[in-house]
Amino acid sequence: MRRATKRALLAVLGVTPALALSSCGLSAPTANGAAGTKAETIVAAGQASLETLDPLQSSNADNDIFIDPVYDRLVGFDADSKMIPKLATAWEFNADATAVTLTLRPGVTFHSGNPFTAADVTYTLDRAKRVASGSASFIPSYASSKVVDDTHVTISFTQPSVSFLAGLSYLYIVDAKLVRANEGSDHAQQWLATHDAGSGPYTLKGYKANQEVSLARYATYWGKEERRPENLVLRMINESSLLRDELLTGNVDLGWGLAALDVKQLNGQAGLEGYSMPSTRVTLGLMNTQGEVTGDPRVREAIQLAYDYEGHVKTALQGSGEIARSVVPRGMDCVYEGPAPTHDAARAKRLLGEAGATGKTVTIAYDPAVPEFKLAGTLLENGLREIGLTVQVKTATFPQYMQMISTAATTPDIAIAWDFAPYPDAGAVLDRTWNSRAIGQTNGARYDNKEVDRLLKAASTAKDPAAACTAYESVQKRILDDRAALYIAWPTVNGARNGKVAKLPYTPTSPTFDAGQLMLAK
Amino acid sequence: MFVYVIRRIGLALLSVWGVATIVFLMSKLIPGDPARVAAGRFASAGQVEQVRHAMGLDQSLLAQYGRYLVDAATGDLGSSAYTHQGVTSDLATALPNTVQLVFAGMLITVLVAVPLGVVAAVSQGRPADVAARLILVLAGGVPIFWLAIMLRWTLGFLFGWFPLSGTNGVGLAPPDVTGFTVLDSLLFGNLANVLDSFAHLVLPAFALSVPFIATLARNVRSNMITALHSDYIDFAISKGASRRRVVVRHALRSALGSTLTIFGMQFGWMVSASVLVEAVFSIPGIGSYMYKAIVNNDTFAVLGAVLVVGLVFIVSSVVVDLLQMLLDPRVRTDHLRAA
Repeated sequence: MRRATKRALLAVLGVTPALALSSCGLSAPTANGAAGTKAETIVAAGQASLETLDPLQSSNADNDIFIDPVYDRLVGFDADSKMIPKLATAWEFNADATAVTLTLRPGVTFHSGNPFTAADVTYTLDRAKRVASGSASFIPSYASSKVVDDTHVTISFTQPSVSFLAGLSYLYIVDAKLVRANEGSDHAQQWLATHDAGSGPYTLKGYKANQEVSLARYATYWGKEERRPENLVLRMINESSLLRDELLTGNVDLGWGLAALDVKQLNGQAGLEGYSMPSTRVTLGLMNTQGEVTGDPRVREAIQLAYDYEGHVKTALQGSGEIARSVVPRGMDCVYEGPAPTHDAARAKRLLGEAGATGKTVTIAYDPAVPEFKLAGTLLENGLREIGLTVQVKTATFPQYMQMISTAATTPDIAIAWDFAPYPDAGAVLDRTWNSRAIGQTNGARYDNKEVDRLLKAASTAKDPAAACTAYESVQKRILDDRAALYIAWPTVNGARNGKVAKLPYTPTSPTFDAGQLMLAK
Repeated sequence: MFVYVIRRIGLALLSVWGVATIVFLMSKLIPGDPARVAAGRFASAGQVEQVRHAMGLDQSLLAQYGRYLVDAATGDLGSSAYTHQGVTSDLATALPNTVQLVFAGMLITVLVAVPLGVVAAVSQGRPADVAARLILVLAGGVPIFWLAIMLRWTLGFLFGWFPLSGTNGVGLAPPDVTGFTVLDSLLFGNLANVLDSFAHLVLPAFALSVPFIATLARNVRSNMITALHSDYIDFAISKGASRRRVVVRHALRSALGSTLTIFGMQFGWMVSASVLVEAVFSIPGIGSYMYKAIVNNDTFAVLGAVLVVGLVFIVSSVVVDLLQMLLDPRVRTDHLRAA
């Protein structure tokens, strides 16, 4: 009865398209997106940016989730962070690790119908070098590349670099013939922002900037998998409560980036199941090792002891994560795990007294737009006041933070920030954040340890992965011993899915998940 | 009259230049390095410098300003450091969503506020007036953000009458011709698309319009009361004019003069307020674009977005002035005398 009344009201209002469709006998059009059978379509939504589909900007614009299904990479990483072949099936370094020759997968075709060859690899690499932004930063030692034949390409580096290959895992290969034809004056950035030049498991059917991407299964994909849905719709919904409601109403089959509280509420409701996956980030409190107050290791140790780590996991992460035991994200190779950090205010006060720093002022900086940082900032402020430090808070967006750390005078004493691992290579993370060469750029702790620099250099050129790993672990141990950072938490990535969607595999090269790996449960 | 129109447009162009200059200077005061944003958080120092050169940020401030003005005059608002696309094309994507929302909001505002204001004025002091004023006080005091969430939760989620978010349902987006989804749906000619686009607009537009209804209706009410107590109304009544004619033809026409000014200003205010509604309903409009641009220190995007919003204010103000001149002989006479 109630349902009948509701339908009657809807008919009177005449505003609900679903009802309009059923009452007028209209068919859903396919103007700008997927409109196949609902059972063959997965609609996924969550927090992201959707301003460009240019695969080169995927690391910069937080749009990997939309790029992954359309493009292929040369190499990838499995859930255990082991390198796996993608478009490159084999690789071989030369004797001094200044070049690598890739063997490419034969029989691959782009969505345009053009065959994938070595020329596409050289074009993609050269384009990255010319544009010099986004994923280009993962291959800084790229010098040039040479086509050997259609299925072999040799890439040369500016300096010996075994870790170059890991950087390639973040480079999506574009259809050179198609992109060159649309290059314009901006290296095809404008064109690629809205067009498909990939060879991935899905082709682009519809695109609405900052809203939605509609994809259709690519019938002749080399890694064909029948459980892939015929249509995949990826929507951008940045508000967690809205995403929760869309999941409950069944408009969305899978939601990512949900607040932990919303995941708890959704679990078991409307056939939904919450999930939690390791993230590719670690929450740190980078301490200025050259600061007037924090330059003293005893003060840094006191700050470490003043922080409430358990409170962070409970309140700032709402339970979705764990206390970190390293300065690099979890789930990578070569992670050195130190002891779990603990809260000990009494010892912290003693250390501060010994250092003669009681009552001194420290500056802390964080981005208040990130809820985790905002709460961490409050916890830190309380902890530092408790041990006798005066606190000055400076809020800063990421660009402002980068500006702050560009000079010694403006670098904050403590900065709450994430360190990311776009791909599971500890070397890349450590080199970016802890190499003294990066002071004034990305080394927010102004950490200057010549031994660490030497070890990083040795590891990046070591042909033996075990030797490189030992060096990276040694670097991490030194950073922990020097107490250069509060290593706070390893957050997880949360979401929920209904019964239509199969369990998601963890992909360490995708900040959320690889949408190309989304499968139907049946 | 022609001289006045030219003078008014000239003043508007001067305002546009002023806005552009102020925004340019302010963008240089925002801390942060746009080249770093464009190159990416993982970029090396060399790559950042390469990008800085490509963006022209290594030139003097004066050279950057000159280039910005010349390019802006030709419709080129530079490239976004974040999206790596032309700001003009970014705005062309975002602006229609906001303008469509604001137009729909203004339509609802007029359709509700004018009759409400008239009824309240005609029934001054009586229960209908008291009820209308009570409604207006509540409508004027309710925060847009809260109202939008409540409407989404009740009419969207609990009753399921309206879509919760976006501008179209899955598979129902029309081909992008103008960027205005309702218009594009009409052009596409499929009823399902039209209904879907319209349904996605109803709740956001209503949420946006409510506080503006309160302002406009109060203005209409007070102007109508003044008009209804005028001598010319007494004269019209004494001449035997019907009540309907007195209210609609004489009092309302006179009352709408200053209401039109408020209405014109509301257009600009609504563009600003739409950012809240866009956030709640996940509509990718100019508000969310500008917010992201500011957070990312995306200089050209900030400049472009602020310039466009400034233009909207200036153009709406010019249109209101011209309309007033056309509709009100007293204003026309004043302006012509001054010209």
